[in-house]
Amino acid sequence: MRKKIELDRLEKMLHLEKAQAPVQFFDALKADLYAVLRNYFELAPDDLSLECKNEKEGCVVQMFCKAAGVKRLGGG
Amino acid sequence: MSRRIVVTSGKGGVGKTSVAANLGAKLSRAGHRVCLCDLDIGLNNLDVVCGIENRIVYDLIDVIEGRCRLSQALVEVDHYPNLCVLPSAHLQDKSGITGQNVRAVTDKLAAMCDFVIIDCPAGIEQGFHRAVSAAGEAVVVTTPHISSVRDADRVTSLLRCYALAGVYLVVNRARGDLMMSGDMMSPEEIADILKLPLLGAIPEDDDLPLSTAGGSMVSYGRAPDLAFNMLADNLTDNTGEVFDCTARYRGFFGAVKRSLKRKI
Repeated sequence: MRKKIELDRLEKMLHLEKAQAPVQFFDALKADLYAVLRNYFELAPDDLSLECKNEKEGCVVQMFCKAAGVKRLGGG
Repeated sequence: MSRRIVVTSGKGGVGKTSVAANLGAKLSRAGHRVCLCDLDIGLNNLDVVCGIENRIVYDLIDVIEGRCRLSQALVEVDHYPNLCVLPSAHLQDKSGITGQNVRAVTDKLAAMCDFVIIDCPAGIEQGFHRAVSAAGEAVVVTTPHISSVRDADRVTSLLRCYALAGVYLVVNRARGDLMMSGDMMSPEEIADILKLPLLGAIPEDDDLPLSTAGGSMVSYGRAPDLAFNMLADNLTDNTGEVFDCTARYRGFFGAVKRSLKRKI
């Protein structure tokens, strides 16, 4: 049915438009996350990776981080 | 407390002005004091739809620039004693019109009326933001066409950045015959896609453009008239009832009507 084709097209279009982000978006997000995480973990920039999946409900962002150790918090 | 409702769409030509005018007319008939405020500066048509284009002395720009009082710029609509229009102007340079001075005008209107219905310009540029910033609620108008729904989705995302008390959907130009044959999205399906509460559905009908041409609201008793009545009731009393555009195409005679519509 024509309606079904139209509905499918529309859903895909709207879904893609919501999930679109410029190339630098994830670089900026990764840099911000790295800046926060390195306060808690022994971490190099390459130890952090981000994955973004487009699903029907929206974007699902997964972060993978491999730290050498946990940093000590506090002074003294 | 007065309600300020902006009627917007994103896409042009979907019927924002017609919906704003007829909704205002129905609310005024129900006894509410209503002002229709035309914020489409430059390509304004609310005056034409309401049939008052020959009675404009002052407009919104005159009020903002202090050349007249607000009450002097309001024009009453014939046959609707509780309904008035604050017309706009054909201006090319809109640099002097800011969100703040528009807001100041709508604040004064809100003090005088139960409903201030704001006709928003098409698009999502400065005019759109000026209109939305003056409102407390929004009605998004769309037609059941893919391009229109796409633009309505974009507008809905932008409206979420404003602290609006409510954002509602009205589906205009709905073809019940095409919905029955599975060739057109229904208002409920569109509301589901846009994730907006469905406030009303207005059927496609020759009466709407013909009454606009004559400078009047929709004719009494016709399908759009009934649809606008239900829309106004839903807005004021939260009835949850929406006009069924497919009702007249059901059954044997409905099937005949659908068949004739396709052939003609």
